[in-house]
Order: sequence, then structure tokens, then C-alpha cells
Amino acid sequence: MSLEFVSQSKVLLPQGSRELRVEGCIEAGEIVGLQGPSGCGKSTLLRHIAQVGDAPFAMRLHDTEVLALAPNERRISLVFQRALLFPHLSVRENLRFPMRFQSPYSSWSRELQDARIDKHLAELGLESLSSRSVVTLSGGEAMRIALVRAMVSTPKCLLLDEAFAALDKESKALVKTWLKTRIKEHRIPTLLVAHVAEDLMDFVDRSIFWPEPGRPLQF
Amino acid sequence: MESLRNSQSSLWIDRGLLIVVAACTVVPFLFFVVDALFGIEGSSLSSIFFKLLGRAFFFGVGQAFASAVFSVGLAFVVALGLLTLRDGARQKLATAVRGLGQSLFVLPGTAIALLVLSVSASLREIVGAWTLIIAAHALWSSLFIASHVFERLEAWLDAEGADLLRASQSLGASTMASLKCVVFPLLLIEVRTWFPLIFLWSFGAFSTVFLLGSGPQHSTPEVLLYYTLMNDLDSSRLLVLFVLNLTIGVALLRLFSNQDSSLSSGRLLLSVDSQSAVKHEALTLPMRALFTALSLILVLGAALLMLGQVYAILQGGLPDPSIWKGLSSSLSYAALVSALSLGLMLWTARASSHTRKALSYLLAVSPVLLAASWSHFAFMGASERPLLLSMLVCAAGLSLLQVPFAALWIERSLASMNSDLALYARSAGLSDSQIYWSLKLPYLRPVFEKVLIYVFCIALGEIALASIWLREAPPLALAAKRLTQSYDFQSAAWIFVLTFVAALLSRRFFRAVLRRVFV
Repeated sequence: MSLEFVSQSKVLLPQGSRELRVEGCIEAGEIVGLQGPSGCGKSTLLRHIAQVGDAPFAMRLHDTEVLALAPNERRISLVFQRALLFPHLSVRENLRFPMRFQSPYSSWSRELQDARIDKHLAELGLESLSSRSVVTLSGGEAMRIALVRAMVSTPKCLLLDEAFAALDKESKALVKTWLKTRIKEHRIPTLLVAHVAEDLMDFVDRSIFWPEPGRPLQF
Repeated sequence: MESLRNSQSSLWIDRGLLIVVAACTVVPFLFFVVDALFGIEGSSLSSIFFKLLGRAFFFGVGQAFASAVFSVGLAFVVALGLLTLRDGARQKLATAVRGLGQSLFVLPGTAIALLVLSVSASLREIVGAWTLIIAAHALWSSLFIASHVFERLEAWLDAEGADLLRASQSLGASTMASLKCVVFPLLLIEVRTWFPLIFLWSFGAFSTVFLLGSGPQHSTPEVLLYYTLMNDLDSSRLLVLFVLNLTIGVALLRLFSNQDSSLSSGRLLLSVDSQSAVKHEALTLPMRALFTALSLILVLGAALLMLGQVYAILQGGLPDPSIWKGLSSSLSYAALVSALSLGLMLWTARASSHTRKALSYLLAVSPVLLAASWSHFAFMGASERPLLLSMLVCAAGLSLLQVPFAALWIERSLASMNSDLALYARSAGLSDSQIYWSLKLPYLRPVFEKVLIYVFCIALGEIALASIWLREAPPLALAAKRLTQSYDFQSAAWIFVLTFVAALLSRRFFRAVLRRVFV
């Protein structure tokens, strides 16, 4: 139960077109931190792993070729630098969004889905936000909802792109503890990109530094 | 203290300018009412008139509805298509298509008018006058509207749209599911905002109906008003038509403002940065390709129809001196319209949010009111007018007709501008005036560019107001209409070439000037 890469792909970085070569493995339940200079392709890598980049990116997730899976079967959750909540939906509808597509949740009744959403919101003390419009949320609240959205359908792989940057110190500690508990409980391979070393502390199992764009990355 | 004085003086400037714009719309109306109530002309509200009016009303609503549905539908369908693509693909090709598409989009109305006029008689026989008008106006308005929607969509993609799509796909939604659950609802909200304004604009459209309708039997209230004005100057009829237009305008405005308030309460989604960068060019490729294709069809269609005349131009030397006079009149008219539109936009950008909203509402009614009230004002005024005055009044009318979309766009763009930027600039010691010139205007430059190029080209092809106000010094579009009607296609072909070149040059000119001024 792990995430394995032996992949190389041509990607478009701010500096131009580059070869992205990645090799290695993230074990089930392992949290890997990735650091590197700005523009080296960290965010681009996450997009490719989530299969929402410019080109297909070959990898194996829990012994299955990801490219062979339909989008709703992949269950790779990516949390972007910005919360990217859907502005036409309420907080609850945003959280229901992945469950509409991903099995087994897509076959659940609306009540069961809502109960699951309520449970997740309560764990982070966010239950009062459930009926709010997302455009009324603060940056920190939006980011926490984005993290709940990523976890509500229990992903097979979790990718976090500077996901803690918008949080204050107190929220950050709470969210990190909650997230880590769930990652370990469900044995989710996780990759966290962070600029600040503090975001990696007390969270990751190991860290990798990617020194420059174009250089092969080994996990 | 100084900032208080500054804000008070800008408040007075805002109010003053608002009064001027309101006066431009209301004063002709007052002339109109006074003439209807106390004028010496006898009333002749016959049953034939009411029959024509009823027909014109239903036709006007029908053609406006069809145009709005077609325009928005086209933009919508293409938008859905282009959003399925991923960025990073075929950028070089996109750049080439973008250049070509934009160049051809500045095709002035003259070319379209010539094309339509060349084939209108036979087409009218085949499909019927009303179908022809609806189809022609839908095509023309879709080019206009789709370009606005497209620009906003491009900016939205650049701001966060592409990432929202990625987010939905990373949460398990397929491409089709992303379109259905994310893009479709977002675009629908955008469409709800634009629809009433497009309807209003189409309902007040003059040129297409006037050119193709060939008489009061096939007209909208706006054009019927023109015929009434030209034929017998009967104030009672004019008043009935005017009140009808006004009622529809106000009702639509009410609808528009309801939509606007629901959106401004936090549900507006595509309120985006006007500084659309080039990195998502590949995403917008299909839309540009469509514009290019439509523009090419129009240009090539017109060129093919006039191939013989264009060849004769090459053989026959310089055009008739009257055409040079027409060119001079056209360029003066277009330059004046551009200058006035620029002034209106500069003021709109500078005004407070409330003033901007009031102005955009006032301007939103203008498409329905202006052509009628201004033309009546012309006939009420002195018959002998200095040319400059005529041109100024005519240009003011056209500017007021074209600016509503720009006002709406400016409002949206400024609303989406990060307010912290202005706060930061103020904390860095910049005055309100400096923030306006060094922050707001460069931010709005893309909007200004597009609108100025557009109004310049519209003015080059405008015939409705020109046919009332500028008969003594007809601009090229009006001359082209007369020449085509008298089967002088060689001169008309010259006009086509001249206006097309002028339109292309205007694009380069406005881009260069604005990039130098708004830095």
C-alpha cells in the first residue's frame, strides 16, 4: 500500500519546458516533506501526481497504474496553495462535492453524506460554518474547509501544496494534529510541499530537498 | 485635511458630471414631451399606426430575445468547449490566432453592412425579412457579446478558473462532471447578469433592422420611431413610441439591477482581474479560432461579393474626391466618439462605487432612449447647425450608446481589484489622484484598449445617428449605404478598403498610446 513513481515527463515550468524525472516511493501512512527553491517545480509536480497537469504522469498507487483509473477511482486529493472552494456552492455543498463522484460515498444517501461532513467539521470545531457561503469565509477558514474537503472522502493519496501557510499558529497546530491522526489511521501516503521549515516540524516523517529545477527527484 | 478637501472636490466633480450625463439623456426627452403636449401638429393615432406598433413591439422583443439567446448561447457553448482543454498546449499557434482574430475582429460595421446589403434583396426573398433581420442581428451581436464574454472568461481562467477546474478534477470529477457542476453554474450566473443588458442593447438596435427591414412593415419600435420622425414628425405617435421604449427600458433595467444586487451580495464569480496575461492562451484557442472564422467569413464574403470592384480599384486609380471627404468626416467622427468614450471611461473609473453604479444604470437605459430622443432633439433644434456641433452631438449620442458595457466592465474589474493594493499605496504616501493614475488606470488598461478600438470601429460603420445628424458631411458608412443603393459598387469597394485599413491601424494606435500613457 504505497505510492510509487518511476516517471519522467516534459512539463512547463516558469523557466520554460523541462524534463521532470521522479523516482521513489512513499509508503502507506508515510508523510514526506518536499522543500526547494521557488520555481523548481514543486507545485507542478503535485499537479502531475494528481493527474491534473499538462501531460499524463505515470505512477503506481497501491499497486495499480493510476493512468488506467478513471478520475473518480483515483482518489488523489490535492490541496492547493489557495483554498479554491467553489464559490457558487455553500460550505456543505463544497464538502459534499468529492462524495458525489467518489465511491463508495457516491452511492450513500444525502443524510449519510451530511452526517460524515458534520463529523469532520465538528472535529475541527467548524460546524458553525456548514451553511455559510464560501465567499464570506476568512482566508484561514477557507483553507481549513479545503483541508476537510480533501479528507472527507478518505483519499488514497494526499498532496498538500503549502496547505498550512494561510493558518494562524493555533489553527495550524490543531489542523496538523487532526490531519496526521487521520493520515496514520487510514494509511494515506502524503506529500507536503512547504517553504517554511516550521510547517514540516512535528508533521512529516522525512524531508527531501529539491535543489534545482530539472534535476531528478528521488524519494 | 487635504485628503478631505480632495474627496469633497471629487464628490462635486462626480455629481457635476453625473448631472451632465443625466441632462444629455433627459433634456431631449423634455423637448419631446413638450412638443407632444403643446406642439402645433395634430394628433393622428390611427388604427394603422397601432397595428404597426403592435407588430414592431412583438418583432422587437422577438429579435432582441433571439439575439440575446444566440449571443450568450454561442459564447456559452464555446466557453464550455475551451475549458475542456489544458493549458500549455499549442501556445505558438494560439499567439498567431490571437493576432489574426483580434485584427479581424476590428472589422468595421461598414463591411458587414456592405455584405448584408449586397445579398439582402435575394436573401429576403428566400427566408423572409424578419428571419433575415433576426439572423443578421444575432450574428452581429454574437460577435460583439461573445468578445466581451470571452475577455472576461479569459481573465477568469487566468485568475482562478483553471485552478478551480483542476481542484474539481482532483476531487474525482471527470471533465464532463467538472463542466456540469462547476463551469456551467458559474457561467450561468455570468449569463444572468449579461442577458438583460444584451436584450436591452438588441432591442434598441437600429442599423440592422433599418438596413434590412426596408420599411415600417418590418421594424422595431426604435426604427418605427425613426420612420415616424422622418415622415410626418407627429409628436403624439412619437410620444407613444417613446413611452413604450422607456417602459421596456426601465423594466429591463429593474431586472438588471435585481440581478446585479444578488450578484454583488457575494455570489459573483467571474468578477475577475482585467489584466489577463498570456499564459492561458491555449485555453482560449477555440474561442479565438471561432472569432477568426466568423470574421474571415464576413471579410471573405464581402470581398468575394465585391471581387470585381476591388479589381477595378486596382486598375482604376484613386477614388472619387467625395470619398476622401467622407474619409475625413468618418475619421473625425470616430476620433470624437473615441475621445468622448475615453472621457466617460476615465470618469467612470475615477468615480465612487455609488456614482459608478448610478452611471451604469443611467447608461444601461440609454440604448433604448438615446437614438429616439436625440434624433427628435435634432429635429426640434435649428435646422442650420455648424458641422462641428452636429458632429459633437452625434458623437456624444454614440458614445453614450456604447459605453454601458464598458461601465459594467470597469465596475466589475475594480470590484475584483484587491482593495489591499490601494491601502498599501495610500500607506506608501500616494494621494487619491496618484492611486488613480498609477494604479487604477494601468490595471484597467486592457478594458480601455478593447473598448476604444471597438467604439472607433463602430463609429466608422455607424449610419443611424449619422443619417440624421451628418447628412451634410456624410461619413463613409453612410456614403457606402447610398452608393450601394445606387449600385455604385466600385466606390463602395473603395470605402470597404479604406475603413478596413483605418480599423486595423486604430488597433495599433490605441494599443501604443495607452501602453505609453497608462504605465
